[in-house]
Amino acid sequence: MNERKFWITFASVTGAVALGAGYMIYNEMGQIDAARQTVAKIREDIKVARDTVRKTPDVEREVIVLREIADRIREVLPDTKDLLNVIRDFQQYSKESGVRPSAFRPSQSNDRGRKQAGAFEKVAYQLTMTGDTFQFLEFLNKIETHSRFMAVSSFKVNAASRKALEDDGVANHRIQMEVETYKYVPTNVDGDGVDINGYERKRDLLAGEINRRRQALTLQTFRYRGPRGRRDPLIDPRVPARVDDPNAWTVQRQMEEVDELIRRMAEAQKYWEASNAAGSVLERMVQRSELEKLLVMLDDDIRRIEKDGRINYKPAEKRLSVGVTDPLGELRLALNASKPNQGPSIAEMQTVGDTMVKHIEDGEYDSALDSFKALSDSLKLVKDPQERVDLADWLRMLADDAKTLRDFGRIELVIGGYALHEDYEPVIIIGGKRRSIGDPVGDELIVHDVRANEVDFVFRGAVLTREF
Amino acid sequence: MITINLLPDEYRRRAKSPIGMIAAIAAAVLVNASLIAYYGYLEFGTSANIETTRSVLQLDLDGLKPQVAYHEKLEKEIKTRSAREMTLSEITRNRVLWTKTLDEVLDIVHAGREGIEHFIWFEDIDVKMAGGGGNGRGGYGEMKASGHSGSDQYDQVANFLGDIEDRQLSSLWQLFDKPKAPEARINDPDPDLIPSVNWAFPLTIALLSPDDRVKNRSEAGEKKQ
Repeated sequence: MNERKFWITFASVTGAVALGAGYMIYNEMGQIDAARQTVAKIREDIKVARDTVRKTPDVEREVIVLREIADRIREVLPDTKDLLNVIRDFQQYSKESGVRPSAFRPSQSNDRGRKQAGAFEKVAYQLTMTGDTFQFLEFLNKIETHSRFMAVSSFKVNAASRKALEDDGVANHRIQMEVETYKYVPTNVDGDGVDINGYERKRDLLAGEINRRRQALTLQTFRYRGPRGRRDPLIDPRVPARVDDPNAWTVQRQMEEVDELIRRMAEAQKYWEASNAAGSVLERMVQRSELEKLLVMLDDDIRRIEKDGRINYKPAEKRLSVGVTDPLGELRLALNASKPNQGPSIAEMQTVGDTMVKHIEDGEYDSALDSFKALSDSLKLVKDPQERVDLADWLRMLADDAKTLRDFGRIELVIGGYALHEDYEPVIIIGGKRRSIGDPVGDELIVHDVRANEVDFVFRGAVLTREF
Repeated sequence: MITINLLPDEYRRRAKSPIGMIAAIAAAVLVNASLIAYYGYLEFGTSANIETTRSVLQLDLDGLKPQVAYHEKLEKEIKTRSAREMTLSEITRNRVLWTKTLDEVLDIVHAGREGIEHFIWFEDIDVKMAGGGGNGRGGYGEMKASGHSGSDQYDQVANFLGDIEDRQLSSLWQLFDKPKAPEARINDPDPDLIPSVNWAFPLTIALLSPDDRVKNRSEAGEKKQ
């Protein structure tokens, strides 16, 4: 081999080796670069994972709180089965509030609201009923304070006509309302949540937060306190014109008075029922005694109201008749039929007597006589015992006194003047004529004594004074 | 051709060492050896080092993966449960307690402001709630009523509407916009009734948006405190 060949061969071999090594280095560097990128990515993944894991305790706490308030959510929005109970509740609320339902049906808006976010499905019901505004408010309040979430999305109240009010005596406004609620549709997460180590301990530590979040889910409520003497704003409050009586009661006053009488009548009915259900004679007597007192007072008040024509608003008149006068008459009949003794009882006579005394003291002699009139016929039946007879005599005496006083008050006397002197008999001018003690005035009066601004007369065996 | 050197030894040219060749060979060997050594360094040093690091890190990452999966499950649960809680708060927030609202209207009708008797009654009351949208007033619902004022003074209608928006008398302002501008029409007098004259008027008040209602409630709550 000559030198030239040697060099050619040498250069070829050396170059080939160098090229091979270069290629391998290049290849290796590519691999190293890729490996470095992989490592960098893993580092990044680890960083992200560590950051994520660092937040796990917070997330765990949130999950625990959410799990613990889930039962509250289910309580506010129960499942389908409880939805049937809503209808039963509507029925119960209607009874309690006094509204008269006429229809209920699922609302058409249900279809629109089916796909509510979360695990809830909207269910709406349309209810139709009649009742007065306060009954409606009570019904509404019962719905809005139901432990389940319920919202009234719309309602319309049409006032009862004046004629319907006069015929029925109560306001039957036409009411239509739509009530919405949401049905809770449980998902798998409720039962298959991931296990959390030391759950109970962690939950106990979060008790404060759990309570706070539960409170936030509590529904806002309102305590409705009834009519509170307010008038129904859907009733025309105008009263019939009575030019003769400027002190006539307003519609509101009339309704209030009638309501009060109805309340007392209901109380009397309770005593009647209690007396019938009494287990002993003594208890029965006590209940009857209270009942009779109540009835006497009711009778008296009704007579006064009727006499003065206080109730002239037709709905109030109708309510008085339906709610008080009619049931009172029926109760009286039932009471009389059940009485073993003939004539009124001691309690009844005592109550009438007390009422008469009060009327006489107030100068209301006609009212006293009206009270007596309620018992006067039955007093004839009182035969025994002596206590009843004495009471009957006392009532008759009170009636006589009331009659005497009333008649004395009705006698018109024109007193012209008088003269008083120690040494002479007093003289008084009555009806233009001079009268002395013992002189008659008219048919039944006799002058008994004369004092400054007062004159005593003997009238039907009693000495009565007239001031002038 | 054969070349024969016939010169005596002393005249012959001395044989020299092939330095160039040696240098060239040495350089070639050096270069190639360096390249191979560098490759070896990359393969068995750097690359192996990186692989070790990768293995360690991968092990670390594998250890974290179950914890991340646990975290993700918890987050998924939060997402579902929070959506439910938020939905409940949302529907609760949108609710209007109509018992309270009507009770306050009744108070105003019954009493009004001291010294002013507007003597109001209604033929109907119509309440509708809506989900928003629409233009201007009434987008979130409204309360309408056909009212009467039993007075020959038609400014009593204005007094009543003024009472409705009076913040001292009720909390209706928290729910409703201001009533529509007053308008009324006198009805034929009825001499059999007291008062014989009455003015019929429409009452229309638009419901505020849930956000505004919440804002007003908070404002009222803060003032109370």
